[in-house]
Amino acid sequence: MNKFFQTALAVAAAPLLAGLASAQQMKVDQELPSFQPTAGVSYEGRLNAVGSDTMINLMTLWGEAFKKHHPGVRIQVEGKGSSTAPPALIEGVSQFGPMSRAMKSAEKDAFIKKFGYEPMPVRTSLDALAVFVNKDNPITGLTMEQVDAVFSKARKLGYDEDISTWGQLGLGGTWAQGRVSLYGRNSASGTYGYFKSVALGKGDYKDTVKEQPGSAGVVNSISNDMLGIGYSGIGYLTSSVRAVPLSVDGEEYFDATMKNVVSGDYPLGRYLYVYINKNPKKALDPVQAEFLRFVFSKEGQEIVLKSGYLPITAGVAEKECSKLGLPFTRAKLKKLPAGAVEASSKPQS
Amino acid sequence: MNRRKLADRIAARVVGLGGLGVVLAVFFIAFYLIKEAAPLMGKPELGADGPSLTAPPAMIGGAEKFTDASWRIFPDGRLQLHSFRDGALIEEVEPLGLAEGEVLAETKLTVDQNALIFATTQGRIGILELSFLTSFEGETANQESRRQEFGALSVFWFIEEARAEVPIAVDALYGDAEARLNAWAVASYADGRVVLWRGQPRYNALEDKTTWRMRAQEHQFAQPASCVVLFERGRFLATVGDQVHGIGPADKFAGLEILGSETASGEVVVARELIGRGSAILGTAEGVLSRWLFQPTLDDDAIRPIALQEYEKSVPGLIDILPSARQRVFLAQGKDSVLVGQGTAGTSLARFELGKNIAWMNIAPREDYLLVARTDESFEAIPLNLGFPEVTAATLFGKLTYEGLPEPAYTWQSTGGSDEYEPKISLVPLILGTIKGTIWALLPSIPLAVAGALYCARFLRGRSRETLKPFVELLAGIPSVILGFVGGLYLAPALEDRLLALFLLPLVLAAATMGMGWFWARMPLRRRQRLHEGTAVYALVPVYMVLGALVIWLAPGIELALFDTSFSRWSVQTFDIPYEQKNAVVVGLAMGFAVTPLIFTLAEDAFRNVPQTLADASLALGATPWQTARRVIEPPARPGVIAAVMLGLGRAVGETMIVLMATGGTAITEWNPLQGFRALSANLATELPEAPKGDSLYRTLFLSAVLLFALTFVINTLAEVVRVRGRKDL
Repeated sequence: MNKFFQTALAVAAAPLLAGLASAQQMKVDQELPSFQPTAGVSYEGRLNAVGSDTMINLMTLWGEAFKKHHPGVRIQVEGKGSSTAPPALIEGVSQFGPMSRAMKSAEKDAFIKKFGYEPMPVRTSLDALAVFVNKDNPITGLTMEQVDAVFSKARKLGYDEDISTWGQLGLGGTWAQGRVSLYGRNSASGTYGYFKSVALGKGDYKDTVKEQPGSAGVVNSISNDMLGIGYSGIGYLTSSVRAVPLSVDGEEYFDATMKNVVSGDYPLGRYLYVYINKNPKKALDPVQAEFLRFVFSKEGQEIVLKSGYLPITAGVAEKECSKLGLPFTRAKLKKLPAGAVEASSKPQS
Repeated sequence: MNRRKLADRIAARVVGLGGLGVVLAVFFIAFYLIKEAAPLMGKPELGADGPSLTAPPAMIGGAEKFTDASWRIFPDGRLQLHSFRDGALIEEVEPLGLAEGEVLAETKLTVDQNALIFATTQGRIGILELSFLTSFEGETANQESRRQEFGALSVFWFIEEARAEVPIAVDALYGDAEARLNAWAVASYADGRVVLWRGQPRYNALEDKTTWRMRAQEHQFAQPASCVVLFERGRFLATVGDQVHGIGPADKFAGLEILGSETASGEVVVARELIGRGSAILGTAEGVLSRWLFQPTLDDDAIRPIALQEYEKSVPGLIDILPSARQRVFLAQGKDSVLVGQGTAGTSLARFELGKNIAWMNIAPREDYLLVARTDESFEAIPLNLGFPEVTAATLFGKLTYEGLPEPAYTWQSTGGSDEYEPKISLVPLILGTIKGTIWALLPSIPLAVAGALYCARFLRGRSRETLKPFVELLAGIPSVILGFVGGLYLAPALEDRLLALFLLPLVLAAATMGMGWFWARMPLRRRQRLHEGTAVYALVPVYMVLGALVIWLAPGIELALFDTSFSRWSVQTFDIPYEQKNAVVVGLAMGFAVTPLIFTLAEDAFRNVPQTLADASLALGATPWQTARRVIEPPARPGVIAAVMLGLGRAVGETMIVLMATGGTAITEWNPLQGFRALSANLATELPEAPKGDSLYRTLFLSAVLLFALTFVINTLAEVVRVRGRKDL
């Protein structure tokens, strides 16, 4: 994607994003340990991350914060798209491959051909997709079947009829005749693929879903379009749009809060992955290990919150660390925090 | 040789080399694009020298995902794993726990090859999960040190207790408790019954255990069904002779409903689903293959089974159909040949001869080998290169019926979340989108630019002419990303509220121009002479600005007064014309800023290059300025103007950022200018960064780039030819 254009979007989105984290009042899991740099070692070297443009901000912020602890480490982040991650990992150009979608089998094959083992996906943060409508839209909630019938022409979740007007979703007055105007993320992006396989049951999007190059673009379009509805990361919520509560069973509707995402009540939560080349017979490179320890620390996860995504729980962090052979000690709790429930939403692999 | 001549010659060489360099660069780009797209043409082929080993063929088998080892299952339930490296037996286990004398009656691999569906002679039905543990020997992990063994092999039972009846055919589908997906199984019995089981996951929080609530429904046929294939959500096809019945569970699983029946061209003997379980391939006793799916109907809400294309080539002595675990491709195994077929478009791709005495064959999960077990106990893995079977002329340009959609359509929707998704890669909507965008960009630009150029070149006088041209050219310098940004973020919502202004503006401005002309004609001659003819036009500027602003400002109010709502919404409701906020008109307006200056500059040059003597002669003979422009100036300038328009066309065809940002990239095949479109260029910009290198989408995108390149190359070359020809004629 064009750099200029991204910058332009980022500039446009910046004021919208500011104050987001405070508005949602989310906190990282108190059991995550705070980051202790390995004593007596000053690391030198390079860390490169090549991959998805959606996770580029997160990687950059992690890199900057990590540099404060280890000024000798040079960190470079390149975000030219998820498909650049596997070749860079294979050629050894990068240590981290942030990807907004799961690696495709052809990409895994190429990796296995070179190394003999599979690339390792590491869960670094959570993303909840929200279904946004204009702030003036009075709709109270949607079932997943309705979401499917709004966005998909295949209606794999089995709703009876195609939904094309707001009246079909129960809105009255001038809304009833209004055509639902659809917005979504650009095709081939991770968000696009995830929404398709979970919310649309792997069915097809309608041809009339207007694809926006970034999540901020989706939100912006909906704030300008009274009849708009669209999906993107919850982190992009602004005052001019509203996230619609969703329901799986049609009885209970859940908001896209961290608590509901982590408990699995909210149906559209997913993990974001960074792929790494982990030789099963060898320990991680010390600089890489130190960086990952930082990612799984309280400080690292606070950065996640800052960049518009949801932090992972201590339980998930512990699992990922043990997979990577990294030490992980839970912080001692003073009192039990309200939202610290073990994650149970299914990871996408 | 004197210095001047030398300098001359050097300069000529440098320029010549530069020109040659440009030509070479263009050819290199074309070559690169074609090189990346060319592998799409490749046909499936078999290699030689794959690993082989000696082992009894058993009933059925396969390979684990690395193709390091091969597993096979015997009728008595023994499961063996052999290493391809040395042919040795790694492990033998008995995960099914069959009773004394009980053997496997039916086996079938799931399409993803992760599990084995089976029925025993005691009527028990289950799914055996096949899992493998990968470890590495020695110090390092690489291809050579990799070892495989069986992992946890668990059985999911649909019928665990022994019973008398043994199914003729069986199919089953894994459930997923976490994703709240039901497990399904279907079996056909000799007495004509077809039974569907549904397993619903129930999570017990107290014991932290998932139990499956199993329920069954059945349907009675007069004759036994020879084949059953499960689709999604409990729907299945059951074949009785040449009759194919589509059956599905009724609401709340209250019974089974026949959704529809069709006749196949012969007695169906083999039926296999393709990946995703959205379509199935049925084969008759004569070896005729056809593709079947459940299609929602347009008129009522019913979903019926339909047969699509019959495959051109048949497979004599059809034994089995092997679906690929990654794409909609299958191998149909015949008596002495194997046919490779493609699912989406129904094309037969290649035929292989593999000799006789084949016990069974299978595609390795990574599609890199064809596994062939023979009755003489030899077993080979033949290297297999399927190429890019999902990309054919039919999938690229054909109108196809896709899984789950009611009508055949031209669709571009290349990716889904997983391999199970059926890619839709028709380039038709993209090509139409490019044409649509170009038309709506050029429609307002051409008259504006050409008429403006004519006025500027032949009517304007003195300084204003010298200042106007650079000013318009300055417009061409606006980066297209900014035009797209303004178009998408500002113009699109603004236009929705005042669509009427778009229709009113030309009328109002035309009326104003006429009015001013009338006023001008009424002015005393003395006044008119004082105001120079060329500068009189400036009187129009404030009028245009005021009227234009007024129309734009008042439009929403007028709309509200006339239609009670915005014009766009009113027209949607009254005429049922879909209106999208980010539409082709918005793109046309934004792109006009990029294209108009380009056409203007070149056309202005063309008009100005017509010798003044011609014009003077015409005027001296008493022709009016308009007659002179029309009859004397325009004909010799025409080739130049056409070339200018062609170059504008070339620019509009290749334009990316404006299209990307000001439309929604909707890949539709509608000409309605109030809806969006998806152009080839914008499609490349969004999808190429996310397309896995070297896979079929990546190469298809390169193919579309070749098309785009060819299109712009031809247009620009034509423009140049027209210009050069025209110059010669002058």
